[in-house]
Amino acid sequence: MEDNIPVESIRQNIPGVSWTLPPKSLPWQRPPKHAAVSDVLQMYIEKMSFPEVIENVVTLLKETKMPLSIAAESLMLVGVHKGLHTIDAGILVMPVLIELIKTAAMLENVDVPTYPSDLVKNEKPVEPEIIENALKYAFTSMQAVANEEPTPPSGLMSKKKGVM
Amino acid sequence: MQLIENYIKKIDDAIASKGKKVDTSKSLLSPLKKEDKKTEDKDFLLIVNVVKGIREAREKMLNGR
Repeated sequence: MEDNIPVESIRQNIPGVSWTLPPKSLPWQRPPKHAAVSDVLQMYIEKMSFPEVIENVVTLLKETKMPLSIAAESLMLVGVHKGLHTIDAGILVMPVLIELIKTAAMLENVDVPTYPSDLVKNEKPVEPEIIENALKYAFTSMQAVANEEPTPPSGLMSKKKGVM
Repeated sequence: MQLIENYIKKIDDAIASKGKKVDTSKSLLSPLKKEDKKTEDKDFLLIVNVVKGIREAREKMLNGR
């Protein structure tokens, strides 16, 4: 299960690294392991059938409430990063990945949106009264600060009135 | 992400029309060569069938609870 370590997916490469490393030393510079879409599909279906992977994905969705498509895209991009398939093949199999993740989420009663655009649709607009009250409060507190009298200087080094 | 949404809509249409109205006249990702067109159509139908299969299996599992 070492392949599922989340750190692997967020490790960044230094810009210009392809100029300093030997050619074809990085996974995405070599031909992908799976070229055909059917092979990529099979690989992901097999991966998504492991209980540990399902558990990790469901926990991720529960904790972050991220849309399914974002989770699927992240999984797919890790595959590209590891040189398992091309990004084109990855995009083609994304609907299957989304459906697999959706199934796992629904079986665990996790309710998350499918696309990021669903988040915006489900968001309730803020009531105008709340905005009005917030603005009133902000202005009154600003006025109170402006009307405050400055505190006279105190301490050994402070200038005293009438002394030059 | 809009590309994926449109792509899934296309798959939904194909499932709704039971594969009769599969429009793969326009290439999904990039203009492919003519000889690759058949492969692209085959891949699209494969994905449509797999998505359909997963949805049916999910409904069965949820209804069987």
